Amino acid sequence: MNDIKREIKELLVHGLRLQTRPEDISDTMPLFDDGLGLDSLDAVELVVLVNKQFGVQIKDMNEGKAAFGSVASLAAYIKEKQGS
Amino acid sequence: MKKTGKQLGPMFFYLMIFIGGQRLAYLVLHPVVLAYVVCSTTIHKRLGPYVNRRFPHGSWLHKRVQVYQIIIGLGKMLIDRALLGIKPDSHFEGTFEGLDRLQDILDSGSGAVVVLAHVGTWQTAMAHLAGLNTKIHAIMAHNEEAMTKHFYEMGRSRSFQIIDAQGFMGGMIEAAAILAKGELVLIMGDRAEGGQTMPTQFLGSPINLPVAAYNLAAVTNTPIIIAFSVKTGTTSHTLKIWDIIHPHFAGREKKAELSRCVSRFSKGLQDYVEQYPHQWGNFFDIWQQ
Repeated sequence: MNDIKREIKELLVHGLRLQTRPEDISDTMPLFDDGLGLDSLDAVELVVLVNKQFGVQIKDMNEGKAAFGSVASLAAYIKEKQGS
Repeated sequence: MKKTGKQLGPMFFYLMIFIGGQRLAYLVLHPVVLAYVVCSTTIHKRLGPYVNRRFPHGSWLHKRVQVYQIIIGLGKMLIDRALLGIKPDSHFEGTFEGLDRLQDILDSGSGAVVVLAHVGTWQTAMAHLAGLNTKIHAIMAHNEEAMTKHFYEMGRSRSFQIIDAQGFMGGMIEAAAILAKGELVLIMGDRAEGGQTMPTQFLGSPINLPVAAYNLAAVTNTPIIIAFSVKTGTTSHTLKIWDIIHPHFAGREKKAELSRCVSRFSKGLQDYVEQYPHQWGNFFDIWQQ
């Protein structure tokens, strides 16, 4: 699980070209708005990146909202989908 | 009463087409539109935002004449559409300027985002793309979907799949997967349906245009094809590729690139309405979106 979280943080920083370091992102920090500051344009890019990197497709709003809460929730979502 | 009128209007024109074909329906259209333009205030309110900007120095009468010509153009397109339903074997010539450029992109294995506008024969424009050797998907809001569905139910087999613009992330996720397969995604670029917009200028006034198409193209590394349709004659229309953009986000800053894209679209649309001022199909104040 920690490996997935680390990979997600690197994906966020490099894939979305964030001006921060992966180690500065906490597992529970909200990804959008006041947390990491991502917006709806980033969301589309993040879904594409997650699909490319982990082979996991986020298909609907409910799944997206739950998965994109934080690094921890995204990691849990990816792990669940990869296991199913 | 209004509802009955709305139902009787098309039926009257269907009857004219049935009796005398396109020619009779076009002929009858003129007095009907003249009466409408003289008596209705609604149509002037709806087209006023466009006509006042496109013909800023025109007199009151000149602007009324422009409204008349726009409605005549729209009426002819609706008659053509109905004609295809009533007489599916009617001959219409459709051409596609720039087809080879789009085909080259598709042959390279890339998908593409085709950005259209509510001008000319935009519904038939979609049929022009049917000849391409790829699948076509259109991101549409319910009202556009209903209009297009109606057109295709009138006699043309639909050559594309619809992605619901009110779906998850405006259909962008589904569209990204489609582009990765090297297929085409069509999006209307002139109406904001709730997504993010970016300010630019159009016909001398500030306007907010949707950025979803350009964001999608940038994140999926696919080109934007700006294409507008034109009714070129009684039985002919064409789809023209106006511009091709390759959006790319170099850093965290996306706004500058998205702004560049909406400006290119706006410039293209302005060139279009300068050449074809009476093929405007937006009965909605797009400067207020």
